[in-house]
Amino acid sequence: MSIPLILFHAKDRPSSDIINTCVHCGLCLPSCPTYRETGLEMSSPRGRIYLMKAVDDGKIGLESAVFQEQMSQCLNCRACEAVCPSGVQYGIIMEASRAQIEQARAANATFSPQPSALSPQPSALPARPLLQRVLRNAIFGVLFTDMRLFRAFSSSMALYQRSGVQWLARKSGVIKLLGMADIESLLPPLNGPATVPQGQIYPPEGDRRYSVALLTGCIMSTAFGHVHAATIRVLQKNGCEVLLPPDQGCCGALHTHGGDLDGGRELARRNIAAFEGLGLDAIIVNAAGCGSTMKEYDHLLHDDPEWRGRAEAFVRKVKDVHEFLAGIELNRAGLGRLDLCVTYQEPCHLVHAQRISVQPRTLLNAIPGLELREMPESSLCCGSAGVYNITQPEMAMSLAVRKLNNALSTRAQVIATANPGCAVQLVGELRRRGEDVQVRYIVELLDQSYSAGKD
Amino acid sequence: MDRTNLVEELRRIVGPRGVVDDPHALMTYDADGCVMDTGIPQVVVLPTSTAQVSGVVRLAARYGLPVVPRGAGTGLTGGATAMFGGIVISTARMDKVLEVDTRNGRVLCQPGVINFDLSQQLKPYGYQFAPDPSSQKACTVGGNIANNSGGPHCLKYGITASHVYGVELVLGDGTVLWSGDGSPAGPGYDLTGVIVGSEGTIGLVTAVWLKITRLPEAVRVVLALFPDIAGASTAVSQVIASGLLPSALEMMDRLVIKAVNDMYKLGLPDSAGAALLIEVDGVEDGLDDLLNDVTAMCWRNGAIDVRPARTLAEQNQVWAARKNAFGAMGRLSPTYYLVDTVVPRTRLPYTMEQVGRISREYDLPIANVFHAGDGNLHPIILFDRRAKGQNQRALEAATSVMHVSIEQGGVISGEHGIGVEKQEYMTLLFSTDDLAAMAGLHQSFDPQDVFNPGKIFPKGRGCGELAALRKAGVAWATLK
Amino acid sequence: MNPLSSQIASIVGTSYLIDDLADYPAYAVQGRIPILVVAPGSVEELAHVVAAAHAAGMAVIPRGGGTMQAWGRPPAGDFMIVQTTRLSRVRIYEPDDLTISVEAGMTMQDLDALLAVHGQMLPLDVPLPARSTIGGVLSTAMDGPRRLGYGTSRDLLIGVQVVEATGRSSKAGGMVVKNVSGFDMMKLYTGSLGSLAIIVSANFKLLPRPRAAATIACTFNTPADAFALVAAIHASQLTPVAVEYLQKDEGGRMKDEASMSAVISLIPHPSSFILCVRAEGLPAAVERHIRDVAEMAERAGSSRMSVLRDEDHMAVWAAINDLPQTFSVADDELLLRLGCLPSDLERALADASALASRQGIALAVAARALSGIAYLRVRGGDEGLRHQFHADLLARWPQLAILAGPPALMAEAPIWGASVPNLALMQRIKQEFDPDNRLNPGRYVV
Repeated sequence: MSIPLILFHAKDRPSSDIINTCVHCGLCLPSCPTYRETGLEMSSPRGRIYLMKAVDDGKIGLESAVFQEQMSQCLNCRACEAVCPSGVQYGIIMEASRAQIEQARAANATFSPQPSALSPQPSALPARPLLQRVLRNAIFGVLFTDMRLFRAFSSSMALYQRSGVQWLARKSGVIKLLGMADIESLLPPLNGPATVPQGQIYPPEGDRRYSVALLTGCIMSTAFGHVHAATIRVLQKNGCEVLLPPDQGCCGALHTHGGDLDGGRELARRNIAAFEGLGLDAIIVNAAGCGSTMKEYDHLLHDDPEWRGRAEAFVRKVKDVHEFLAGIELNRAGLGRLDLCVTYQEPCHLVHAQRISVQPRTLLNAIPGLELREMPESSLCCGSAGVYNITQPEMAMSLAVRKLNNALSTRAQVIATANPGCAVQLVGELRRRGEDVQVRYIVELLDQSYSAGKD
Repeated sequence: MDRTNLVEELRRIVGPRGVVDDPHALMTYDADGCVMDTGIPQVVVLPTSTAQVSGVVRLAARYGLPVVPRGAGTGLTGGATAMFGGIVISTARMDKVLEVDTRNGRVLCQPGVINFDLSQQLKPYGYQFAPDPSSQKACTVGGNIANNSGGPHCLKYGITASHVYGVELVLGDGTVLWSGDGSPAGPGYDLTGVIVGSEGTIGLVTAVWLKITRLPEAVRVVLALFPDIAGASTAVSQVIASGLLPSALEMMDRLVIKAVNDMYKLGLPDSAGAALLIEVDGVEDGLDDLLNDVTAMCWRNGAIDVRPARTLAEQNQVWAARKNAFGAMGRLSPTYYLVDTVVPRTRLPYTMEQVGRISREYDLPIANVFHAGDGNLHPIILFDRRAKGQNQRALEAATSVMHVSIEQGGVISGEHGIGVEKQEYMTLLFSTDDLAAMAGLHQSFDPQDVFNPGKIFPKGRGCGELAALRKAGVAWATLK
Repeated sequence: MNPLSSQIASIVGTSYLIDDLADYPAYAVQGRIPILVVAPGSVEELAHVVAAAHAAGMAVIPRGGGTMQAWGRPPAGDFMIVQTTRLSRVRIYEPDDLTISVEAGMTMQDLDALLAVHGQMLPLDVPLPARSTIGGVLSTAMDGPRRLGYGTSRDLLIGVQVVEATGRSSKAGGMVVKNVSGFDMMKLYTGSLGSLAIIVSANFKLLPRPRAAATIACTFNTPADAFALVAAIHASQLTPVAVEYLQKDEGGRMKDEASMSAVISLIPHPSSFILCVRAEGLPAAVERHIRDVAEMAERAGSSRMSVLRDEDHMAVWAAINDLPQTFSVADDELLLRLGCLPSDLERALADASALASRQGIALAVAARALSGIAYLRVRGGDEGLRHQFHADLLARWPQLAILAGPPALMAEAPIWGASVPNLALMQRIKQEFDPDNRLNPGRYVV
């Protein structure tokens, strides 16, 4: 008797129509960071879609180790989507596949692990190990959904970094034992106050041309508060009134990418409500990962009749900060000289998911004195990708090494980027090598240029 | 033989990370770009060096297993599919450019280097690798060598065979040979020449000296729109006959224009029934005159619009539309069957008419995007695999296209190869004697039929049978 | 008449068979007299003839215009000659297709005349085109100066029909310019010196004749200056179709060498070292080449630069193309072909010049300067010195072939170079195609 397979469930089922749009042409292969690193067919978008198709066709089940490994190994950078001539919506079926795995695990954690006689089709995967489950729940379920907790956690980590405990923990390998080594090395140096959205309104410099709101987010608001400050100043310089609406929170990117679609939906609803009815011209996002997630709230909530329309209205207003600035008449007169040699690392969720590639370069080139030197493979993922460093440490590491090799080959003084995950990844690898190269957000460079322009 | 032992021995050669033997992982290797024919290998190995390849091939010989070379798996005729199982050797990790030698106009690289990446790496030197198949962003130079790939620019620069100086080849007994290095007039038979285009059936290429081509000083691109294919085809004939040799002459029909219009926002008018992409290159001097002449010929042949792509960005956009046309078909139909035949250039208009007739006869839309300058057709038969009977109709329509092409003095593959997909059609083109000669060549390289068995030659007429026939055959018998 | 002769006579008719060779010394191959010479009138006849020879165990030497029979080792044992010159028909020529199918016995000159009517060309420049046949050009893979711009026969041949050793006929390729339908047998037969099969017809891709053409002839005081210009052209984005380096004998000891004299006579103020650059294409592009090459030549230290157009242009190249001919070679002469990486050519030629002057023998050179191939004509001195010259040069440059020389040397010297790589595989190919060793036996590498 053959053991029945665990197949896709109805809820958040990866669409057969999307899966079958793939014609197996293979043009996606070289765009995929994990394929570039491994050369393995199953580690390519085409291979992963083939695996999804195999589950969809009932040839293999969710319990397949190869299936689970590949759904986890994907960075969801969506570089493949950008090059797919058939327009396969890969991100959507990848997130749905991950949701299927998580649902199957959750079913087992809460319900009987044994399939009942009445349901011969087992519906559950073995639950994750307890420790992993607790951590995962703590991170996804608690930390990111409550910004106060997140900020508290962040400042305790800051204390940890400053106190020398960090040094001790690193040395002793305790962190490694706890499976936290990578989280630890990823933490950016925490300095400066967190940005707490409390309904602040920053006035424009000169005439008000636009009224915009800024998503403060989670990691950006704590580790990268200074980037928010720079973003606000740059927007002000460009005639924007900048609002920081209260009640907003994490965008939910880590949840949706990790397969916790319901968790992502909860956060999406909260943000939609927070930004509604404010008479905004745009909702500005300065983190590529958040922007791409928010631009897909409509898809995430498309089965929710109450929220679908509101999500669509929200999505129409979401603008990546570079997209916004390059789309308006930029205040070039105020830009001062920055004699810097800069190379640009394209965040996947900007170039691939949002197809924003020219605008960041346009802004960099607008800065007088700045020389932009293109690195090879500028749009290949750096290996950060949300919690990827934790779930796939080896792959994340080798992609970081590859990225830095490419970046350093330009001999630029600054690596410009536009996403916290990338920034952390780049800083981590630079530190490991002891390289004296800065990692800066493009808005920071613009801010610095405006500030130089005052003199 | 024991599979466990095989896997263990393979791991010893290429390391544990270089062996794929999980059945679910192997499933993803059951096809290349052609999903009509599938075959799951027993094991996939990913060597990084010639010595490893040689070791794996020796092992395969010992276990009596076929060896199937695989590059990026973008081929369209099942050339990289393990029809009889065996060991798939993937060149994905043999992707290094080893030496750029501009003084001798050559580059040494491994077979897994991606065609487009190679040209990107050569750019700073002012060079390119001229063959540029549509799949160039993904396909490997090893695959290009196996299929003697073309691409739009081979109109002027020639096919892959003209750009390979020599290859390092692993034979069926694991021995390794070099067929050349770029110094001309080596003694003996042109082994390089026969290895190129042999679809991985006579050995596995592990390194290659490729010819590189100086980037042209200047390039001009123009997109001419015509109401129909006939007018555009006449313009092509005139351009070719007038003594102008463009670097590319590419045609797209109404369906393709629609698909790429959607994707690339080219803003082409719906009234255009054919778009002709013309590129000329060379030294700056005279290039504008040449472009004016070409443009005038288009107008004379009823063009409704002629649009020069002036900036590099515009040129790239037009080229992207052309090169991604096949994939864009996914926007028109869930499945397509891409045919690849060639006819003498003057037979293009008639052949295209016949393709239209075939489309009506089998009630399936056929889109056309092709290398008009070479007479290389690519009718794309659009169908839905899941709809009853459509699979069969698509296959029959493709066969009809091949019949028409042969009737018009053409051949059944211009650049995709024969593989599995077209092996049964070889007899339409070649006599038993013709095939026997090819089998003889195959026998001299791979007498044990180790590499990629069951390809190119029609089933039931494998190389062994044909070669035996050849040896037994008495000349007078065929003559009388 | 012996039985084989009668059988063959019954196939081709007695008027196309010579079996009394005493009166026809021209048919001797490196001094060896054939048993008979037969000129079939069709592919079918040729196939029957070869089959009859095969059945009779008779070796066959294919022959076109006979201009390159000096190549290879002298035939061992009895042989008959199968001459292809009566196979000279055009099979298919649709000018707008820019392809042609012709029988192998057609001469290059006849083919060119035919193509010229339609403004087209097959840019294979070979010596003695009035006699050289398609089949001979293919089986020797003889190259020409314009290989730089248009490639060699391997790049232009798109289809072929052959008659194999047993008399069986087979074909490959087609009448289209792109084709991966089956193995590229064209490459196998090209350059195989008739040792695998006899080429009976060939299909080519053609090119439009250029709208404009000109020659820039630059003279130099030293080879180094000439090669400085070669390097400058290589580094530029110019696209000349030929860059030919010519070196005449400094001592003027090759007075009766007609072709070099013809070249020299067309170039104003010639010196011992000449670089001829051939530009073809659009008029403006040709003028640009003239301007730029002139400038580069001056920088490289050229002593004199002249531009040749129209008849002079055509005449100078006709003379250059003839330089490596092996049809009439004097008794005290060797014709060598040296192949090397293009970047090594200057050094290889310097070695050759030094050796020649040390041994006091005359040397003239015609080299495809950007392709790494040179034809060396060696003359004078005594036989031992010439052979020593070859041996010494071979020791430094292993890819040195003797294309013409005295039969004794051709029989014994390593005429195809210091070694033949992949010989075992080549022997397997020969064994597969001609197991009884009947086609040009012993003359090529296997």
